[in-house]
Amino acid sequence: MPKTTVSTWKLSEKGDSVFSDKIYPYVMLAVASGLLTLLGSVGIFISLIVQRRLERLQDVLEEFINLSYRSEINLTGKMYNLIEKYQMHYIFPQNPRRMILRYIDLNIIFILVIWVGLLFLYYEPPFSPEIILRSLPLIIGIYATLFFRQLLRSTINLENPLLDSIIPAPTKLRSISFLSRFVNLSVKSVLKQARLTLLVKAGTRDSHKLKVLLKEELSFDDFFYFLLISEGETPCFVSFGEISFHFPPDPVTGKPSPVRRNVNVPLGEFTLSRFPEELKAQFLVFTKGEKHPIQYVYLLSQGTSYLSPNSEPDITVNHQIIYTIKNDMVEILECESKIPHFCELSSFFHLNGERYYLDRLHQGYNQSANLKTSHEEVFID
Amino acid sequence: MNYDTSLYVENLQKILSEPLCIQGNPQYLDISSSQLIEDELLREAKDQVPPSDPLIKGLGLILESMEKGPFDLTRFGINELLKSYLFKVNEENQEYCTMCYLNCIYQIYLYGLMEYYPFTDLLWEYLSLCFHAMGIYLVDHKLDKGCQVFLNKVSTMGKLAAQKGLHTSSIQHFLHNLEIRANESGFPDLADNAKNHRFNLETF
Repeated sequence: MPKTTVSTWKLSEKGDSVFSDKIYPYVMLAVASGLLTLLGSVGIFISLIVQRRLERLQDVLEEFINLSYRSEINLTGKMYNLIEKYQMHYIFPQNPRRMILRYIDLNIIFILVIWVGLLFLYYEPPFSPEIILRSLPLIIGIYATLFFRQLLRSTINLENPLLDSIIPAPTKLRSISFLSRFVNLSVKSVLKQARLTLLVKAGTRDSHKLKVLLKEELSFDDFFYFLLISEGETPCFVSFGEISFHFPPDPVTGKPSPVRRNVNVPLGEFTLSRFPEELKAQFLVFTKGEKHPIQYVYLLSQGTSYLSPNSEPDITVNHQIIYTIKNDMVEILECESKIPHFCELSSFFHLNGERYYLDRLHQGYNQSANLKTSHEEVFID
Repeated sequence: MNYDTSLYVENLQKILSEPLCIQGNPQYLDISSSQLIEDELLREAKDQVPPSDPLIKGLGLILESMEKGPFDLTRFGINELLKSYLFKVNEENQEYCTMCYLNCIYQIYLYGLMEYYPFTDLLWEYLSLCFHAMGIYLVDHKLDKGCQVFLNKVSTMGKLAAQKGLHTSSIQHFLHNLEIRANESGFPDLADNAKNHRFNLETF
Protein backbone atom coordinates (compact mmCIF):
# COMPACT_ATOMS: atom_id res chain seq x y z
CA MET A 1 0.00 0.00 0.00
CA PRO A 2 2.75 2.47 0.80
CA LYS A 3 4.44 1.75 -2.52
CA THR A 4 1.42 2.67 -4.59
CA THR A 5 0.78 5.83 -2.63
CA VAL A 6 4.37 6.89 -3.03
CA SER A 7 4.12 6.37 -6.77
CA THR A 8 0.98 8.54 -6.99
CA TRP A 9 2.75 11.20 -4.98
CA LYS A 10 5.62 11.07 -7.38
CA LEU A 11 3.06 11.71 -10.11
CA SER A 12 1.72 14.70 -8.33
CA GLU A 13 5.15 16.31 -8.35
CA LYS A 14 4.52 17.05 -11.95
CA GLY A 15 1.80 19.42 -10.95
CA ASP A 16 -1.54 17.50 -11.32
CA SER A 17 -2.22 17.54 -7.59
CA VAL A 18 -4.30 20.20 -5.81
CA PHE A 19 -1.95 20.36 -2.82
CA SER A 20 1.70 20.86 -3.22
CA ASP A 21 3.61 17.86 -1.98
CA LYS A 22 5.94 20.10 0.01
CA ILE A 23 3.16 21.77 1.94
CA TYR A 24 0.89 18.75 2.49
CA PRO A 25 2.86 16.97 5.25
CA TYR A 26 3.17 20.26 7.13
CA VAL A 27 -0.57 20.83 6.89
CA MET A 28 -1.16 17.34 8.17
CA LEU A 29 1.25 17.89 11.06
CA ALA A 30 -0.50 21.15 11.85
CA VAL A 31 -3.84 19.29 11.90
CA ALA A 32 -2.35 16.70 14.23
CA SER A 33 -1.01 19.33 16.57
CA GLY A 34 -4.36 21.13 16.44
CA LEU A 35 -6.06 17.93 17.48
CA LEU A 36 -3.50 17.51 20.23
CA THR A 37 -4.27 20.99 21.51
CA LEU A 38 -7.96 20.17 21.52
CA LEU A 39 -7.22 16.98 23.41
CA GLY A 40 -5.29 19.04 25.92
CA SER A 41 -8.21 21.38 26.38
CA VAL A 42 -10.54 18.42 26.87
CA GLY A 43 -8.15 17.37 29.58
CA ILE A 44 -8.49 20.79 31.20
CA PHE A 45 -12.25 20.64 30.84
CA ILE A 46 -12.37 17.25 32.50
CA SER A 47 -10.07 18.30 35.26
CA LEU A 48 -12.30 21.31 35.96
CA ILE A 49 -15.36 19.08 36.28
CA VAL A 50 -13.51 16.55 38.37
CA GLN A 51 -12.12 19.30 40.54
CA ARG A 52 -15.62 20.54 41.28
CA ARG A 53 -16.85 17.07 41.97
CA LEU A 54 -13.90 16.35 44.19
CA GLU A 55 -14.64 19.44 46.23
CA ARG A 56 -18.24 18.37 46.67
CA LEU A 57 -17.25 14.88 47.69
CA GLN A 58 -14.63 16.18 50.09
CA ASP A 59 -17.23 18.47 51.63
CA VAL A 60 -19.65 15.61 52.15
CA LEU A 61 -16.87 13.45 53.54
CA GLU A 62 -15.83 16.19 55.90
CA GLU A 63 -19.39 16.73 57.06
CA PHE A 64 -19.66 13.01 57.64
CA ILE A 65 -16.48 12.98 59.70
CA ASN A 66 -17.57 16.00 61.71
CA LEU A 67 -20.80 14.23 62.54
CA SER A 68 -18.98 11.36 64.13
CA TYR A 69 -17.56 13.60 66.83
CA ARG A 70 -21.01 14.38 68.12
CA SER A 71 -21.85 11.03 69.54
CA GLU A 72 -24.34 12.30 72.11
CA ILE A 73 -27.09 12.98 69.61
CA ASN A 74 -28.92 10.76 67.20
CA LEU A 75 -27.40 11.09 63.74
CA THR A 76 -28.44 7.87 62.08
CA GLY A 77 -30.80 9.57 59.66
CA LYS A 78 -28.29 12.29 58.86
CA MET A 79 -25.49 9.82 58.22
CA TYR A 80 -27.71 7.82 55.93
CA ASN A 81 -28.62 10.94 53.98
CA LEU A 82 -25.00 12.01 53.72
CA ILE A 83 -23.90 8.66 52.32
CA GLU A 84 -26.72 8.84 49.78
CA LYS A 85 -25.70 12.37 48.90
CA TYR A 86 -22.11 11.27 48.46
CA GLN A 87 -23.27 8.50 46.18
CA MET A 88 -25.22 11.03 44.13
CA HIS A 89 -22.18 13.22 43.52
CA TYR A 90 -19.99 10.24 42.99
CA ILE A 91 -21.58 8.86 39.86
CA PHE A 92 -20.88 10.87 36.75
CA PRO A 93 -23.91 10.96 34.45
CA GLN A 94 -23.64 8.18 31.90
CA ASN A 95 -24.41 10.09 28.67
CA PRO A 96 -21.89 12.95 28.80
CA ARG A 97 -19.30 10.50 30.01
CA ARG A 98 -19.76 8.27 27.01
CA MET A 99 -19.67 11.26 24.68
CA ILE A 100 -16.47 12.63 26.12
CA LEU A 101 -14.83 9.23 25.98
CA ARG A 102 -15.84 8.79 22.34
CA TYR A 103 -14.46 12.20 21.50
CA ILE A 104 -11.16 11.44 23.17
CA ASP A 105 -10.88 8.10 21.41
CA LEU A 106 -11.64 9.53 17.95
CA ASN A 107 -9.23 12.38 18.50
CA ILE A 108 -6.42 10.08 19.48
CA ILE A 109 -7.09 7.70 16.58
CA PHE A 110 -6.87 10.62 14.13
CA ILE A 111 -3.63 11.86 15.59
CA LEU A 112 -2.07 8.44 15.50
CA VAL A 113 -3.22 7.84 11.91
CA ILE A 114 -1.69 11.11 10.79
CA TRP A 115 1.60 10.46 12.54
CA VAL A 116 1.98 6.90 11.37
CA GLY A 117 0.59 7.70 7.91
CA LEU A 118 3.10 10.45 7.30
CA LEU A 119 5.99 8.27 8.32
CA PHE A 120 4.78 5.49 6.04
CA LEU A 121 4.44 7.90 3.14
CA TYR A 122 8.05 8.88 3.39
CA TYR A 123 9.33 5.44 4.10
CA GLU A 124 11.78 4.24 1.54
CA PRO A 125 13.03 0.71 1.52
CA PRO A 126 15.33 -1.01 2.19
CA PHE A 127 14.74 -1.62 5.85
CA SER A 128 17.66 -0.78 8.11
CA PRO A 129 18.00 -0.90 11.91
CA GLU A 130 18.37 2.84 11.86
CA ILE A 131 14.66 3.11 11.13
CA ILE A 132 13.75 1.75 14.54
CA LEU A 133 15.97 4.31 16.15
CA ARG A 134 14.43 7.07 14.07
CA SER A 135 10.87 6.03 14.83
CA LEU A 136 11.59 5.90 18.54
CA PRO A 137 10.09 9.40 19.12
CA LEU A 138 6.95 8.24 17.35
CA ILE A 139 6.70 5.21 19.61
CA ILE A 140 7.19 7.37 22.68
CA GLY A 141 4.59 9.79 21.33
CA ILE A 142 2.06 7.00 20.82
CA TYR A 143 2.75 5.66 24.29
CA ALA A 144 2.34 9.09 25.87
CA THR A 145 -0.94 9.74 24.07
CA LEU A 146 -2.34 6.38 25.07
CA PHE A 147 -1.28 6.96 28.63
CA PHE A 148 -2.94 10.35 28.58
CA ARG A 149 -6.10 8.67 27.31
CA GLN A 150 -5.94 6.18 30.16
CA LEU A 151 -5.55 9.03 32.63
CA LEU A 152 -8.54 10.92 31.29
CA ARG A 153 -10.62 7.78 31.23
CA SER A 154 -9.92 6.94 34.82
CA THR A 155 -10.61 10.49 35.91
CA ILE A 156 -14.06 10.24 34.41
CA ASN A 157 -14.80 6.75 35.73
CA LEU A 158 -14.13 7.06 39.41
CA GLU A 159 -14.24 3.36 40.12
CA ASN A 160 -10.59 2.62 39.61
CA PRO A 161 -7.57 2.07 41.79
CA LEU A 162 -5.91 5.29 40.56
CA LEU A 163 -8.22 7.68 42.39
CA ASP A 164 -9.60 5.30 44.97
CA SER A 165 -7.42 6.62 47.73
CA ILE A 166 -8.25 10.26 46.98
CA ILE A 167 -11.96 9.81 46.40
CA PRO A 168 -13.20 6.73 48.24
CA ALA A 169 -16.16 4.85 46.81
CA PRO A 170 -19.47 5.49 48.62
CA THR A 171 -19.45 1.97 50.03
CA LYS A 172 -16.23 2.87 51.83
CA LEU A 173 -18.16 5.31 53.99
CA ARG A 174 -19.92 2.40 55.64
CA SER A 175 -16.71 0.50 56.13
CA ILE A 176 -15.60 0.80 59.71
CA SER A 177 -12.11 -0.37 58.85
CA PHE A 178 -11.70 2.32 56.22
CA LEU A 179 -12.99 5.02 58.53
CA SER A 180 -10.74 3.91 61.33
CA ARG A 181 -7.68 3.43 59.17
CA PHE A 182 -7.59 6.35 56.79
CA VAL A 183 -9.58 8.87 58.69
CA ASN A 184 -8.82 9.63 62.26
CA LEU A 185 -12.17 9.43 63.91
CA SER A 186 -13.78 7.75 66.81
CA VAL A 187 -14.94 4.32 65.73
CA LYS A 188 -16.93 4.08 68.91
CA SER A 189 -19.11 7.02 68.10
CA VAL A 190 -19.64 5.93 64.51
CA LEU A 191 -20.64 2.47 65.70
CA LYS A 192 -22.95 4.07 68.21
CA GLN A 193 -24.94 5.51 65.34
CA ALA A 194 -25.12 2.08 63.74
CA ARG A 195 -26.88 0.93 66.92
CA LEU A 196 -25.81 -2.67 67.05
CA THR A 197 -28.22 -4.85 68.98
CA LEU A 198 -28.56 -8.52 69.53
CA LEU A 199 -31.75 -10.47 69.27
CA VAL A 200 -32.11 -14.07 70.35
CA LYS A 201 -35.15 -15.65 68.79
CA ALA A 202 -36.78 -18.97 69.47
CA GLY A 203 -37.14 -21.15 66.40
CA THR A 204 -40.60 -21.48 64.90
CA ARG A 205 -40.69 -25.28 65.04
CA ASP A 206 -38.41 -26.07 67.92
CA SER A 207 -38.60 -23.53 70.72
CA HIS A 208 -35.40 -24.85 72.29
CA LYS A 209 -33.45 -23.85 69.25
CA LEU A 210 -32.38 -20.25 69.63
CA LYS A 211 -31.31 -18.13 66.71
CA VAL A 212 -28.91 -15.26 67.26
CA LEU A 213 -29.29 -12.15 65.13
CA LEU A 214 -27.17 -9.05 65.01
CA LYS A 215 -29.27 -6.04 64.12
CA GLU A 216 -27.81 -2.89 62.66
CA GLU A 217 -29.82 0.25 62.27
CA LEU A 218 -27.34 1.53 59.71
CA SER A 219 -25.34 -1.03 57.77
CA PHE A 220 -21.76 -0.37 58.85
CA ASP A 221 -19.54 -3.26 57.91
CA ASP A 222 -16.00 -4.42 57.30
CA PHE A 223 -15.03 -5.44 60.79
CA PHE A 224 -14.28 -8.60 62.71
CA TYR A 225 -16.44 -9.58 65.65
CA PHE A 226 -16.35 -11.98 68.54
CA LEU A 227 -19.54 -12.79 70.43
CA LEU A 228 -19.97 -14.77 73.58
CA ILE A 229 -23.38 -15.42 75.06
CA SER A 230 -23.57 -16.83 78.53
CA GLU A 231 -26.37 -17.84 80.82
CA GLY A 232 -25.34 -16.81 84.28
CA GLU A 233 -21.69 -17.80 84.38
CA THR A 234 -21.81 -20.65 81.88
CA PRO A 235 -20.97 -19.69 78.33
CA CYS A 236 -23.37 -21.27 75.87
CA PHE A 237 -22.67 -19.77 72.49
CA VAL A 238 -19.64 -18.36 70.69
CA SER A 239 -19.61 -16.76 67.30
CA PHE A 240 -16.92 -14.90 65.41
CA GLY A 241 -16.17 -13.82 61.89
CA GLU A 242 -16.17 -10.93 59.50
CA ILE A 243 -19.14 -8.73 58.82
CA SER A 244 -19.18 -7.48 55.26
CA PHE A 245 -22.17 -6.61 53.15
CA HIS A 246 -22.77 -6.58 49.42
CA PHE A 247 -25.86 -4.68 48.50
CA PRO A 248 -26.67 -4.98 44.81
CA PRO A 249 -28.34 -2.00 43.14
CA ASP A 250 -32.07 -1.83 43.54
CA PRO A 251 -33.59 -4.40 41.15
CA VAL A 252 -36.48 -2.12 40.18
CA THR A 253 -35.07 1.38 39.99
CA GLY A 254 -31.46 0.37 39.35
CA LYS A 255 -30.19 2.87 41.89
CA PRO A 256 -27.05 1.87 43.76
CA SER A 257 -27.51 1.37 47.48
CA PRO A 258 -24.30 2.12 49.34
CA VAL A 259 -25.98 1.82 52.72
CA ARG A 260 -29.11 0.13 54.02
CA ARG A 261 -31.23 0.39 57.12
CA ASN A 262 -32.48 -2.27 59.53
CA VAL A 263 -30.02 -4.94 58.53
CA ASN A 264 -30.15 -8.34 60.25
CA VAL A 265 -27.13 -10.60 60.29
CA PRO A 266 -27.75 -14.21 61.38
CA LEU A 267 -24.83 -15.24 63.58
CA GLY A 268 -25.80 -18.82 64.27
CA GLU A 269 -28.03 -20.90 66.50
CA PHE A 270 -27.78 -22.90 69.67
CA THR A 271 -29.94 -25.11 71.83
CA LEU A 272 -30.79 -24.75 75.48
CA SER A 273 -32.81 -27.24 77.46
CA ARG A 274 -35.28 -24.52 78.46
CA PHE A 275 -36.04 -21.00 77.35
CA PRO A 276 -33.69 -18.75 79.33
CA GLU A 277 -34.89 -15.78 81.36
CA GLU A 278 -31.82 -13.69 80.97
CA LEU A 279 -28.64 -13.95 78.92
CA LYS A 280 -25.49 -11.91 79.00
CA ALA A 281 -23.71 -11.18 75.75
CA GLN A 282 -20.25 -9.79 75.19
CA PHE A 283 -19.60 -8.50 71.73
CA LEU A 284 -16.13 -7.43 70.61
CA VAL A 285 -15.49 -5.40 67.48
CA PHE A 286 -12.07 -5.46 65.80
CA THR A 287 -11.37 -2.93 63.08
CA LYS A 288 -8.31 -2.59 60.89
CA GLY A 289 -7.13 0.75 62.15
CA GLU A 290 -7.28 0.20 65.90
CA LYS A 291 -5.39 -1.89 68.39
CA HIS A 292 -7.94 -2.29 71.18
CA PRO A 293 -11.31 -3.85 70.40
CA ILE A 294 -14.56 -2.15 71.28
CA GLN A 295 -16.62 -4.10 73.72
CA TYR A 296 -20.39 -4.17 73.96
CA VAL A 297 -22.07 -5.78 76.92
CA TYR A 298 -25.73 -6.61 76.48
CA LEU A 299 -28.14 -7.92 79.03
CA LEU A 300 -30.80 -9.76 77.12
CA SER A 301 -34.06 -10.22 78.90
CA GLN A 302 -37.13 -12.14 77.97
CA GLY A 303 -39.92 -11.02 75.73
CA THR A 304 -42.41 -13.67 74.67
CA SER A 305 -40.56 -15.75 72.12
CA TYR A 306 -37.39 -13.75 71.96
CA LEU A 307 -34.73 -12.12 74.09
CA SER A 308 -33.60 -8.58 73.50
CA PRO A 309 -31.65 -5.99 75.43
CA ASN A 310 -33.86 -3.84 77.60
CA SER A 311 -31.46 -0.99 78.01
CA GLU A 312 -28.69 0.62 76.05
CA PRO A 313 -25.60 -1.61 75.87
CA ASP A 314 -22.51 -0.72 77.79
CA ILE A 315 -19.91 0.30 75.19
CA THR A 316 -16.26 0.50 76.22
CA VAL A 317 -12.84 0.12 74.69
CA ASN A 318 -11.30 -3.08 75.99
CA HIS A 319 -7.73 -2.18 76.93
CA GLN A 320 -6.87 -5.70 78.04
CA ILE A 321 -6.66 -6.96 74.50
CA ILE A 322 -4.17 -5.74 71.93
CA TYR A 323 -4.49 -7.02 68.40
CA THR A 324 -3.30 -6.34 64.92
CA ILE A 325 -4.73 -7.42 61.60
CA LYS A 326 -2.16 -8.88 59.23
CA ASN A 327 -2.85 -10.79 56.01
CA ASP A 328 -6.53 -11.03 56.87
CA MET A 329 -5.78 -12.64 60.21
CA VAL A 330 -6.53 -11.17 63.59
CA GLU A 331 -3.38 -11.62 65.60
CA ILE A 332 -3.87 -11.25 69.33
CA LEU A 333 -0.71 -9.69 70.74
CA GLU A 334 -1.81 -9.39 74.32
CA CYS A 335 -4.70 -11.12 75.97
CA GLU A 336 -5.36 -10.43 79.60
CA SER A 337 -9.05 -10.58 79.12
CA LYS A 338 -11.19 -12.86 81.24
CA ILE A 339 -13.63 -13.53 78.43
CA PRO A 340 -13.89 -17.31 78.30
CA HIS A 341 -12.83 -19.09 75.10
CA PHE A 342 -11.55 -15.89 73.57
CA CYS A 343 -7.81 -16.50 73.72
CA GLU A 344 -8.16 -20.19 72.95
CA LEU A 345 -10.12 -19.55 69.79
CA SER A 346 -7.97 -16.71 68.54
CA SER A 347 -6.05 -18.94 66.13
CA PHE A 348 -9.24 -19.30 64.07
CA PHE A 349 -9.76 -15.57 63.57
CA HIS A 350 -9.69 -15.20 59.78
CA LEU A 351 -11.20 -12.35 57.87
CA ASN A 352 -12.71 -14.18 54.94
CA GLY A 353 -16.25 -12.89 54.95
CA GLU A 354 -17.50 -15.96 56.83
CA ARG A 355 -19.24 -16.12 60.18
CA TYR A 356 -18.46 -19.14 62.34
CA TYR A 357 -20.16 -20.31 65.47
CA LEU A 358 -19.81 -22.91 68.16
CA ASP A 359 -22.91 -24.10 69.95
CA ARG A 360 -21.74 -27.03 72.06
CA LEU A 361 -19.05 -25.46 74.12
CA HIS A 362 -18.66 -28.27 76.62
CA GLN A 363 -17.57 -30.66 73.85
CA GLY A 364 -14.35 -28.78 73.27
CA TYR A 365 -13.23 -26.82 70.31
CA ASN A 366 -9.72 -27.96 69.56
CA GLN A 367 -10.93 -29.33 66.29
CA SER A 368 -12.05 -26.76 63.83
CA ALA A 369 -14.53 -29.42 62.73
CA ASN A 370 -16.80 -28.26 65.54
CA LEU A 371 -16.97 -24.83 64.01
CA LYS A 372 -20.07 -24.26 61.97
CA THR A 373 -20.60 -21.64 59.34
CA SER A 374 -23.65 -19.47 59.39
CA HIS A 375 -24.78 -19.69 55.79
CA GLU A 376 -27.90 -17.67 56.15
CA GLU A 377 -27.94 -14.49 54.14
CA VAL A 378 -28.12 -11.02 55.60
CA PHE A 379 -31.66 -9.70 55.37
CA ILE A 380 -33.55 -6.48 55.89
CA ASP A 381 -36.29 -6.53 58.50
CA MET B 1 -45.71 26.83 92.76
CA ASN B 2 -45.63 24.35 95.59
CA TYR B 3 -42.89 21.76 95.24
CA ASP B 4 -44.52 19.14 97.42
CA THR B 5 -44.65 16.00 95.31
CA SER B 6 -47.39 14.24 97.23
CA LEU B 7 -49.54 17.36 97.21
CA TYR B 8 -48.95 17.76 93.50
CA VAL B 9 -49.79 14.16 92.73
CA GLU B 10 -52.84 14.20 94.97
CA ASN B 11 -54.07 17.31 93.27
CA LEU B 12 -53.59 15.76 89.85
CA GLN B 13 -55.25 12.52 90.89
CA LYS B 14 -58.26 14.46 92.11
CA ILE B 15 -58.52 16.33 88.84
CA LEU B 16 -57.98 13.32 86.64
CA SER B 17 -60.42 11.10 88.54
CA GLU B 18 -63.29 13.24 87.27
CA PRO B 19 -65.08 11.56 84.40
CA LEU B 20 -63.87 12.52 80.96
CA CYS B 21 -66.07 15.00 79.16
CA ILE B 22 -65.79 13.02 75.98
CA GLN B 23 -68.41 10.47 76.89
CA GLY B 24 -71.42 12.69 76.35
CA ASN B 25 -72.10 14.66 73.22
CA PRO B 26 -70.84 18.11 74.12
CA GLN B 27 -73.06 20.79 72.69
CA TYR B 28 -70.47 23.23 71.57
CA LEU B 29 -70.03 24.67 68.10
CA ASP B 30 -66.52 24.26 66.81
CA ILE B 31 -66.01 26.35 63.68
CA SER B 32 -63.09 24.30 62.44
CA SER B 33 -65.03 21.07 62.46
CA SER B 34 -68.19 22.33 60.78
CA GLN B 35 -68.04 22.65 57.02
CA LEU B 36 -71.14 24.75 56.72
CA ILE B 37 -72.16 27.25 59.39
CA GLU B 38 -75.87 27.71 59.55
CA ASP B 39 -77.22 30.96 60.92
CA GLU B 40 -79.59 29.22 63.25
CA LEU B 41 -76.87 27.08 64.73
CA LEU B 42 -74.70 30.13 65.13
CA ARG B 43 -77.44 31.95 67.04
CA GLU B 44 -77.93 28.95 69.27
CA ALA B 45 -74.23 28.72 69.89
CA LYS B 46 -74.05 32.18 71.29
CA ASP B 47 -74.22 31.13 74.91
CA GLN B 48 -72.68 27.69 74.58
CA VAL B 49 -69.89 26.85 76.96
CA PRO B 50 -67.59 23.89 76.46
CA PRO B 51 -67.70 21.37 79.30
CA SER B 52 -64.87 21.73 81.74
CA ASP B 53 -62.31 19.15 80.80
CA PRO B 54 -60.30 17.49 83.58
CA LEU B 55 -57.62 16.59 81.08
CA ILE B 56 -56.94 20.22 80.22
CA LYS B 57 -56.74 21.09 83.89
CA GLY B 58 -54.26 18.32 84.46
CA LEU B 59 -52.30 19.27 81.37
CA GLY B 60 -52.11 22.85 82.61
CA LEU B 61 -50.65 21.69 85.89
CA ILE B 62 -48.04 19.56 84.16
CA LEU B 63 -47.06 22.32 81.76
CA GLU B 64 -46.72 24.66 84.70
CA SER B 65 -44.39 22.19 86.39
CA MET B 66 -42.33 22.07 83.23
CA GLU B 67 -41.95 25.80 83.25
CA LYS B 68 -40.77 26.18 86.82
CA GLY B 69 -40.41 22.94 88.64
CA PRO B 70 -37.84 20.21 88.73
CA PHE B 71 -38.17 17.42 86.21
CA ASP B 72 -39.44 14.97 88.80
CA LEU B 73 -42.70 16.85 89.14
CA THR B 74 -43.21 16.65 85.38
CA ARG B 75 -42.43 12.95 85.52
CA PHE B 76 -45.00 12.34 88.22
CA GLY B 77 -47.48 14.40 86.27
CA ILE B 78 -47.01 12.40 83.09
CA ASN B 79 -47.17 9.21 85.07
CA GLU B 80 -50.50 10.20 86.64
CA LEU B 81 -51.86 11.24 83.27
CA LEU B 82 -50.95 7.92 81.68
CA LYS B 83 -52.21 5.97 84.66
CA SER B 84 -55.56 7.64 84.41
CA TYR B 85 -55.56 6.86 80.69
CA LEU B 86 -54.95 3.16 81.27
CA PHE B 87 -57.63 3.26 83.93
CA LYS B 88 -60.21 4.82 81.65
CA VAL B 89 -59.52 3.26 78.28
CA ASN B 90 -61.86 0.44 77.34
CA GLU B 91 -63.32 -1.38 74.37
CA GLU B 92 -65.87 1.33 73.52
CA ASN B 93 -63.94 4.52 73.91
CA GLN B 94 -60.49 3.25 72.90
CA GLU B 95 -59.99 5.41 69.83
CA TYR B 96 -61.32 8.68 71.13
CA CYS B 97 -59.86 8.30 74.60
CA THR B 98 -56.42 7.48 73.20
CA MET B 99 -56.61 10.46 70.91
CA CYS B 100 -57.49 12.85 73.75
CA TYR B 101 -54.79 11.65 76.09
CA LEU B 102 -52.12 11.47 73.44
CA ASN B 103 -52.91 14.98 72.34
CA CYS B 104 -52.05 16.05 75.88
CA ILE B 105 -48.84 14.04 75.78
CA TYR B 106 -48.04 15.54 72.40
CA GLN B 107 -48.39 19.03 73.78
CA ILE B 108 -46.14 18.19 76.69
CA TYR B 109 -43.64 16.75 74.24
CA LEU B 110 -43.73 19.82 71.99
CA TYR B 111 -43.21 22.02 75.01
CA GLY B 112 -40.23 19.86 75.93
CA LEU B 113 -38.64 20.42 72.53
CA MET B 114 -38.44 24.13 73.18
CA GLU B 115 -35.01 25.70 72.96
CA TYR B 116 -34.74 26.70 76.61
CA TYR B 117 -36.28 23.59 78.14
CA PRO B 118 -33.29 21.94 79.80
CA PHE B 119 -34.63 18.42 80.28
CA THR B 120 -35.52 17.50 76.69
CA ASP B 121 -33.43 14.32 76.74
CA LEU B 122 -34.78 13.20 80.09
CA LEU B 123 -38.33 13.87 79.03
CA TRP B 124 -37.98 12.00 75.76
CA GLU B 125 -36.25 9.06 77.39
CA TYR B 126 -39.01 8.88 80.01
CA LEU B 127 -41.77 9.14 77.43
CA SER B 128 -40.17 6.41 75.30
CA LEU B 129 -40.12 4.06 78.26
CA CYS B 130 -43.74 4.85 79.04
CA PHE B 131 -44.78 4.30 75.43
CA HIS B 132 -43.16 0.90 75.44
CA ALA B 133 -45.08 -0.31 78.47
CA MET B 134 -48.35 1.24 77.31
CA GLY B 135 -48.16 -0.21 73.80
CA ILE B 136 -47.67 -3.68 75.18
CA TYR B 137 -50.53 -3.15 77.65
CA LEU B 138 -52.90 -2.10 74.87
CA VAL B 139 -52.03 -5.13 72.75
CA ASP B 140 -52.33 -7.48 75.68
CA HIS B 141 -55.79 -6.11 76.46
CA LYS B 142 -56.86 -6.47 72.82
CA LEU B 143 -57.38 -2.75 72.39
CA ASP B 144 -56.00 -2.86 68.88
CA LYS B 145 -57.89 0.16 67.50
CA GLY B 146 -56.72 2.33 70.34
CA CYS B 147 -53.25 0.97 69.83
CA GLN B 148 -53.39 1.93 66.17
CA VAL B 149 -54.11 5.54 67.14
CA PHE B 150 -51.45 5.36 69.81
CA LEU B 151 -48.92 4.01 67.34
CA ASN B 152 -49.54 6.75 64.78
CA LYS B 153 -49.16 9.48 67.33
CA VAL B 154 -46.06 7.95 68.90
CA SER B 155 -44.34 7.56 65.56
CA THR B 156 -45.08 11.18 64.72
CA MET B 157 -43.30 12.09 67.92
CA GLY B 158 -40.49 9.66 67.13
CA LYS B 159 -40.00 11.15 63.69
CA LEU B 160 -39.81 14.62 65.13
CA ALA B 161 -37.36 13.41 67.75
CA ALA B 162 -35.12 11.89 65.07
CA GLN B 163 -35.10 15.19 63.22
CA LYS B 164 -34.15 17.02 66.38
CA GLY B 165 -31.25 14.63 66.97
CA LEU B 166 -32.81 12.86 69.94
CA HIS B 167 -32.12 9.17 70.29
CA THR B 168 -34.77 6.93 68.86
CA SER B 169 -33.38 3.55 69.82
CA SER B 170 -36.01 3.05 72.54
CA ILE B 171 -38.76 3.88 70.09
CA GLN B 172 -37.27 1.53 67.50
CA HIS B 173 -37.10 -1.13 70.14
CA PHE B 174 -40.70 -0.43 71.14
CA LEU B 175 -41.93 -0.60 67.55
CA HIS B 176 -40.12 -3.87 67.02
CA ASN B 177 -41.48 -5.38 70.21
CA LEU B 178 -44.95 -4.16 69.40
CA GLU B 179 -44.68 -5.76 65.97
CA ILE B 180 -43.78 -9.12 67.46
CA ARG B 181 -46.45 -8.86 70.17
CA ALA B 182 -49.14 -7.82 67.72
CA ASN B 183 -48.29 -10.72 65.43
CA GLU B 184 -48.47 -13.13 68.33
CA SER B 185 -51.80 -11.71 69.53
CA GLY B 186 -53.32 -11.95 66.06
CA PHE B 187 -53.32 -8.34 64.89
CA PRO B 188 -51.37 -8.55 61.64
CA ASP B 189 -52.52 -5.08 60.51
CA LEU B 190 -51.16 -3.51 63.64
CA ALA B 191 -47.89 -5.42 63.22
CA ASP B 192 -47.53 -4.24 59.63
CA ASN B 193 -48.23 -0.71 60.69
CA ALA B 194 -45.61 -0.90 63.43
CA LYS B 195 -43.07 -2.26 60.97
CA ASN B 196 -43.85 0.45 58.47
CA HIS B 197 -43.44 3.12 61.12
CA ARG B 198 -40.16 1.59 62.22
CA PHE B 199 -38.77 1.74 58.69
CA ASN B 200 -39.89 5.31 58.22
CA LEU B 201 -38.80 6.65 61.57
CA GLU B 202 -35.55 8.16 60.39
CA THR B 203 -36.43 9.04 56.83
CA PHE B 204 -36.71 12.73 56.40
